[in-house]
Amino acid sequence: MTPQSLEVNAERPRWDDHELLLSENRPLGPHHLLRFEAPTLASRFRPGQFLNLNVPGHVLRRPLAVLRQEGDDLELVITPFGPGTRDLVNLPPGTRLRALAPLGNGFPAPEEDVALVSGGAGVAALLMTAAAALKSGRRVHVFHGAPGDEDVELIKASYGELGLEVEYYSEDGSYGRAGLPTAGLERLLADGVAVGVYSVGPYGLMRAAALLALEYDRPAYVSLDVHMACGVGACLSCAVLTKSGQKHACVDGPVFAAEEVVW
Amino acid sequence: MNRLEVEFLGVKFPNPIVTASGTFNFGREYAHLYPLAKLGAITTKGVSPRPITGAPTPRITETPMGMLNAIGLENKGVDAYVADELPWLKEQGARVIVNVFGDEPAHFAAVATKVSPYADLIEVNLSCPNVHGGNLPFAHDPQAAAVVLRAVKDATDRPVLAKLSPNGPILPVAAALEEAGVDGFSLINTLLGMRMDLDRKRPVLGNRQGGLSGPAIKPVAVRLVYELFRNTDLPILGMGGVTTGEDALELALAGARLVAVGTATFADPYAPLRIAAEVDRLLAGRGETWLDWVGAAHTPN
Repeated sequence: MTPQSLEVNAERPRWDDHELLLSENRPLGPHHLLRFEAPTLASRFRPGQFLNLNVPGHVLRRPLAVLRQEGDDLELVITPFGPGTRDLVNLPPGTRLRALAPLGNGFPAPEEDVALVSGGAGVAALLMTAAAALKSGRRVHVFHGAPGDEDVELIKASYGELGLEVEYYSEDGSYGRAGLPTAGLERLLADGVAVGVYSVGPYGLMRAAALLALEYDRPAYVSLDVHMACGVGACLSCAVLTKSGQKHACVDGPVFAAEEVVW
Repeated sequence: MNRLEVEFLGVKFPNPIVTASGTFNFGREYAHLYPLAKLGAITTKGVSPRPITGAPTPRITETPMGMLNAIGLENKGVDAYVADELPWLKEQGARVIVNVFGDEPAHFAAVATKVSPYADLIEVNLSCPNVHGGNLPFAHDPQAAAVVLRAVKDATDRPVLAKLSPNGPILPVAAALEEAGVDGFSLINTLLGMRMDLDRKRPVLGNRQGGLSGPAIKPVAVRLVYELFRNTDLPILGMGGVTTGEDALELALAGARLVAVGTATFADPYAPLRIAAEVDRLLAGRGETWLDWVGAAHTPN
């Protein structure tokens, strides 16, 4: 590598194509939790990194955040959305898949207490950060939003396993508090609580959380989910406009500091 | 014996499987997986005179057995690549096909001159469907294509391939390019297509339309390579949906002397090497060489 390289940064992970064996596939409301045995990937993921998973019968892989890794096992949360994710959640245990991994930069380690603002399967990208924050003695505030009560099981199987209390917001008021999880974040920030803000979910949610954090002068990070093909910096699909020019979510992200992103 | 070895316009390739433009960037992303010199060649991402930021996102979407892309030819501009990526790529010992483009003939020529020291072959992108300010690509107009080709030929001492579009008339354009002195052809570029988002009731891609690639287009590629081979003596670099050794051999039968792998590499970064190994096994079982297959579908029964 030439030192002035524009293309590859030495910090980027040495990814490869790894085999994964699907050991468990269980529904969590509308989501699915897929557990894999992936011995060659044991302990390879930093919080917020992702893998690019093949789907039998499909031309492109699917980029997915890693919810959890324990020894040889790793877990993903998949929400059926299009043909690829619908096929993924129907795979039986015993299926062998392949994944390019580990990919992406991941979240910086929390240096203070944290506020997590999530929506849907965005939980998956945040859980390892939550665990790391707890391990280093930080307080973790969790605000999660969904259209209704459909994420309750997902919350129990993720934040709940870490013993975290979740302030759950439903847009239709059917569970927890009515409204958006940014209401909880705003209350926390307005109370002057010093937290780093981490948000993963729909773009509108991340944008709102990021802008609130900037308004209260708190550090904030988001994980931008942009359509990508290769996942490794070659196809240039996943363009993200930042204040220092155009970047690519797969290799420059998916995690970006809120103040870097042109919202 | 190396049954895959093939000479193409004076350049010796250890195997006929090369990467397709825009699917391998400049190789650096994959260099930790295997020596890039093991590939037949690398065709670079398209290089323009000045940096281009590209199309709005989403830039890709999957389709049945294929994908649509509208990257919009994002690239850092020729000076950045000549300063860094191309010298590095040559140091890897890889054979390099540099894909060049511009808005007008002089721009193509300027890029070709600058990249020539690092290029084994120049591929002139006359046919990207995603740019050109709403104008038709040069490859749709035989005379416009010939003017570009002449400018590039005057600007480089390297052999020049013209990349042809399946969205316009191939044979008249190829004839005009041959007249203008082109050294060989590469085809096919992607097929124009569109996919709708049912929630937004709008096209999925930020650019609205994009180029279809992947296994879905392979039969189109085989047909067009076959048609062109019947009408030219110049060598052909064939591509379109190649995912297996069998696919590569189909294109060889149709007339492709080299075969590019593109979309398959997104899903499997080892695909070009795997496909070359599959071709080698298939040929070994028959005691034949790659060259035995090139254009063999055209020989009398």
